[in-house]
Amino acid sequence: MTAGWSRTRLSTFVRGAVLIVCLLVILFPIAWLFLMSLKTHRDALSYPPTFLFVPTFQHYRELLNETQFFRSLVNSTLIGVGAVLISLVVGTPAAYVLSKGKLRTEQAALRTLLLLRMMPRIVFIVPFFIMLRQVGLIDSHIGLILTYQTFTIPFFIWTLRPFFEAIPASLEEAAHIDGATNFEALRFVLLPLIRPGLVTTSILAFILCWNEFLWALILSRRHAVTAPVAIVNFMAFEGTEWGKIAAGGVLVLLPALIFSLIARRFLTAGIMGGAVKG
Amino acid sequence: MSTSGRRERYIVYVIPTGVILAVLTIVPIAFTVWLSLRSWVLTTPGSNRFVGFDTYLALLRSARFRDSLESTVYLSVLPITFQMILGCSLALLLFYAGPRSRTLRILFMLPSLIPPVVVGLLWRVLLAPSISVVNYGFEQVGVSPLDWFGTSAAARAAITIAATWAWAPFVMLLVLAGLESIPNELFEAARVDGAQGLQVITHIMFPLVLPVIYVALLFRIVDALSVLPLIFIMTGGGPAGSTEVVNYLAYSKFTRFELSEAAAICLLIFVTLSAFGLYVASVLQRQERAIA
Repeated sequence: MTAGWSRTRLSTFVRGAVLIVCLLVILFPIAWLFLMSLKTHRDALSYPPTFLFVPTFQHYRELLNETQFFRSLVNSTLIGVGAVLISLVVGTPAAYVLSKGKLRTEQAALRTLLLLRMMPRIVFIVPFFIMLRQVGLIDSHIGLILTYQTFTIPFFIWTLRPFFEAIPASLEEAAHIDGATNFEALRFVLLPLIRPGLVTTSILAFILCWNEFLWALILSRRHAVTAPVAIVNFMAFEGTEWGKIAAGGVLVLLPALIFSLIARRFLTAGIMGGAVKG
Repeated sequence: MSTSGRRERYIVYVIPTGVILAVLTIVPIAFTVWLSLRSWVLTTPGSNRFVGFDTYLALLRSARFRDSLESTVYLSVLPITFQMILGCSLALLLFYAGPRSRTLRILFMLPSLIPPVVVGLLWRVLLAPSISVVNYGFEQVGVSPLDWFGTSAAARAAITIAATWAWAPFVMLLVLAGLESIPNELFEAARVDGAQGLQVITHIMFPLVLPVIYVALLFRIVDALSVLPLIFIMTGGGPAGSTEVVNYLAYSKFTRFELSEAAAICLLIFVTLSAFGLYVASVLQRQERAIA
């Protein structure tokens, strides 16, 4: 009995140790990026790398004072918020209708939307570039907000669908018996019930836009450059300014991280786009 | 009002979505098809004329395209294999750590929350030979430092490492959810029957989470081309085209205004992904029905 007990203790200890080592290995790259962003130019360039140094916020100050980079952060925010608002207004009613999902056409629509979410961004670059050039929307916020609907609307529909499905049909019927129109039932009965779902989906969709890189790269020049594109640009120009490069990375990473953690409760559902239940 | 009558009016709710997505998808795809049958180079006047399937044929004959397919296979198979192995192992580890590990889980997930561009930047900082802390670690344990972006094999390894780090947590999360949905009674029954640790894993857990592992694998394959931002930042397709995956090639063609060639590559990607995506969708729906 005692031998069995201590063996369990030992294996628990070993497992705990393995867990901690894995965690350290996984987190080290992120920690290193943070450290790098706090190093002076000389510390950042030294080899062997310095682990102990006097931290400085000089790179962050410089970056945020640099109009180009600061502006890219503003652009990313504006484009993300704009894209989410349109998808919220357009996609929510569609998610509501498709959550009934029994008809063959509805099933087909859902499958098409799933397919659209799986499509690599590269597929659309040539036509989007030509189309936006035709209507003069290259290098504009509107152009990116519109093209981002290609993935934000399907994301909204797939993620919101389970929330609508969870509402008992009797509630909606009760609203209709009380004389509510379709719109009133949706607006005053259903939407308040799925408010947490709306908030979470909006946050996650914003992150999708914030992280988007390829389309922003192709469809912007100077005016509408987003943060990920700005990073690539200044990596090309700053060469070995590793401290500054790392600081730029941290500034793009932090909002994504913070918003993800806020939406964390529902993250599993978000990643899978509601494609797999349970 | 009858149910069918009410349903008719619901159509109004899908029209805006339908119109926006039709303009943003059907028009571009049709345009891509049209473009791929021509020989348009934006900077060459008079090149915009119908050539039928010549662009495709030239593409299939070009060594660069075939090399890009090879790179795509390398940079999909390697990262996905490691993501699956690592993701499943971590899931198992966290599952055995029990509910106490809930807060730890967020930390394990962190890499998957980082924007792909920053993943590329971060690994460039870690691996750039002149400052590489990874190489420094290698030297400490007696391994000779690598010129990560200097040789084909090392560059592919670098992308593989970064992609594994970034996407293994996704696999971990799915598999962990699968493990936790196994009813406790099954574990107890196994213990009563005298099953040992490894037997529980191979005979109970593995068969039961296999469908989840399969879905995770399918998702990773669908998403294989999303290593693009890492390649942009870390290697730029080099050295010697060894990390030039097929969507990177399409991008390079596009930036040199060889629009028809770019369109032909994009259309091949579109057709492949559509076929595979339909299969994935059918698997998902079958599983959804099985659960419901």
